[in-house]
Amino acid sequence: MRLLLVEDDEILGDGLVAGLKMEGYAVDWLTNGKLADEALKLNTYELIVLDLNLPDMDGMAILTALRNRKDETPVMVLTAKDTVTDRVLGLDSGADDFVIKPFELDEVCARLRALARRSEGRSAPTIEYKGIVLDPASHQVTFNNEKIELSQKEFEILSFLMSNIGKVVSRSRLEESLYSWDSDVESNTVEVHIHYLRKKLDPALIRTVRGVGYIIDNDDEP
Amino acid sequence: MNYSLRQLLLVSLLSASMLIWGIAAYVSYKVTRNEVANLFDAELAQSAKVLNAFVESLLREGSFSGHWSKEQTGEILHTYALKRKFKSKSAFQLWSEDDGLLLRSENEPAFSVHGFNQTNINDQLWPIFDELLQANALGHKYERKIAFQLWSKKEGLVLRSDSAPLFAFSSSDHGFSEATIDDNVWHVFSITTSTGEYIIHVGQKEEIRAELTDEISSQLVTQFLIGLPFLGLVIWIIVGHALKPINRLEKALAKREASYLKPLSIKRLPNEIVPVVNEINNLFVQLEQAFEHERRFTADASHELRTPLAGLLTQAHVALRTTDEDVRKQALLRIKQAVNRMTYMVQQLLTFSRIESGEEFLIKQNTMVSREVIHVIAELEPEAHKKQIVMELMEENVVPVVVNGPLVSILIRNIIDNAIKYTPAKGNVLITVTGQEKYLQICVEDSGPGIAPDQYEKSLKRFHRCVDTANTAKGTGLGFSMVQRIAAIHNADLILGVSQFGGLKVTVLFPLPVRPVDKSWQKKLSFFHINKSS
Repeated sequence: MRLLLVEDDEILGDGLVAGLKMEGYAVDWLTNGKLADEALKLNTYELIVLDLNLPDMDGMAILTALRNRKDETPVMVLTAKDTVTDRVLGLDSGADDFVIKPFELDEVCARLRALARRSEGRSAPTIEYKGIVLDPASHQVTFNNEKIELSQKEFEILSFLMSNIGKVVSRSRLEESLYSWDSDVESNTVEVHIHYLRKKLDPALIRTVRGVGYIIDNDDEP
Repeated sequence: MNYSLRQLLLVSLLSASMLIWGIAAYVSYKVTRNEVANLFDAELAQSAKVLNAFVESLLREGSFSGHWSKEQTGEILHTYALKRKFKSKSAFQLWSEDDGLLLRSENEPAFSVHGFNQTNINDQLWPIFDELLQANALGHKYERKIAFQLWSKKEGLVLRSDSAPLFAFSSSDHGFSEATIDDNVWHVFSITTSTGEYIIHVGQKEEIRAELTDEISSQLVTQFLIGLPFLGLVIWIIVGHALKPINRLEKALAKREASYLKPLSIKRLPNEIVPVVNEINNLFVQLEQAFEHERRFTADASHELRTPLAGLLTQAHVALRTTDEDVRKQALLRIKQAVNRMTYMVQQLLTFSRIESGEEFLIKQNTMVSREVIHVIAELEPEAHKKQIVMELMEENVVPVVVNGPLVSILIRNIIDNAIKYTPAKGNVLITVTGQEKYLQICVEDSGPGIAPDQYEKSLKRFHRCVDTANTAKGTGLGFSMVQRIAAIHNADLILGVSQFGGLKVTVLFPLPVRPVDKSWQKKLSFFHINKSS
């Protein structure tokens, strides 16, 4: 899952990047408000973690601009201001969640999962389909009540596809979701991961749409 | 020493009225005594003249017990008409047993008739003229003390009143005199009949005069003594009423506290107190600003501490959870960095708060600022050396200024420290100290990224860190506000600009101590200049 982190503090930013990467997010980190605004115009992210006190452009301004573009990407705001008015103002400007510094990394991760879940229109913490149960919090997948060991990237691809059941997900979209700017993407990585997923789960689960991408077909729908 | 305004006013007003009243009473006592003396003198004279008229009438008839005719009395009355101003206030009548009223003054009183009596003194029959006026309804208590004698040159004492002595009242035979008889002072008026045969003395005891004046004075004193408590009460009430606004003010002030500094109302306050209240309100405004300043500072500082704390916590989590040894090492390194940065920040905060309240920063002395600059450079040079920054000091025309050494040291350290932090490796930092006409100029120029002119004001704000450089320089955002504060304490100007290396140029202008000699010279010069031009 691709995430944009906008935080000007070097140590906090660095820690968040490391922590979120451990959670399996592909993290892009920007320290400047204007750059973040530009990046949001050009790229698609599943989640945004936004610090409010930024050089050049205020976090709130970025948020307002984002919502004005009808971009519904969930935004978690990080702030040092803890007054109720600050939180109300932030939520009114379109923030989906508020975390006050200093915070526990675990809490931030849990809240981010909840945000992702809500944005996908799910209320249950796990995704279940055709005997596969995917738990984003514990990164565990069971198939017919059997625990399946998946690599991080495999888990990410599966969770992305299962979040978009019945929709074709392009290869580039998958790649974007898997890799941040600083990681090298090999041309055939996605295929390799799909291959292993088919092997570990039901081979018929993921269908290749040639030249476009992949889909988990929704057989429950008539 | 504290005192009660109400008591002070009461005591002083009462004393003042007592003093003024005392003087007035003394003057009026004196005047009264004088007037009373005049009045009684006039009475004496009149009595004497009446007697004289009587005696002369008798003499004309050739007999003391002869008959008097009304035509004659009219003439006598004219002759002895009183010319004194109290004439109208005294009246007399002369009655004959047989003929009724013989003689009277112009204003006619209603006296009753008295006659002659005869008394036996030393076996000799003395005709005594009984005192007309007894201490009865008709009389007056002061009038009893009047006595008269009728002396004949041939026969001695012919007629006297009851209270008159047997010897002559006075040696004088005309006009006023005083005599002392049995320790009593008598005022005597003497008159000699036109024939020169008889002398009439009319005497009056001094006592009577003293009594009258004493009576008047004691009246005055009693009235005042009775009035005094009332006067005091009235003053007490009036002063209390006048002081009511002060009580109201006290109540309003008692409600004020650090968190409630609403200006006091000057409505319904006397003009004398309004300036005081205005000053208090000014103080309130200043206090409020100081409190607000303090509140904002605490809020800002705690907010600023939250971000590095969040960083610390996150890195600690990463270090705890990662299985990757490299990631853990990196996280621990970051934790160490964060702790160092927070230590620096806490130091800066402490210094900042000490600037506001530290006693050691109150004393200002003649200081060679360039010496402080050299100290700071010596301390910071190793840091610059690490980044291969060329640091240089240039001095010119250096003069001492009156400053607080430690504070100026902090100021210089912050500016140079900033310059080193923001200047990339192999850059330049140039420090110049120049004495100018009115200022000592300290200028620090670097080859860093500088600050855009529209950001100058913002960059002087507390906790503000510059956009692109904030992360690399690891500042706290307190340095410049500290510099600004110290400059303000010294009335120094702080100017930001572009350096010759393209970076930031920070200029501080310390005003030189003003010398009166210099001023007079300037005046003289300008005077000459004006003369020339005109």
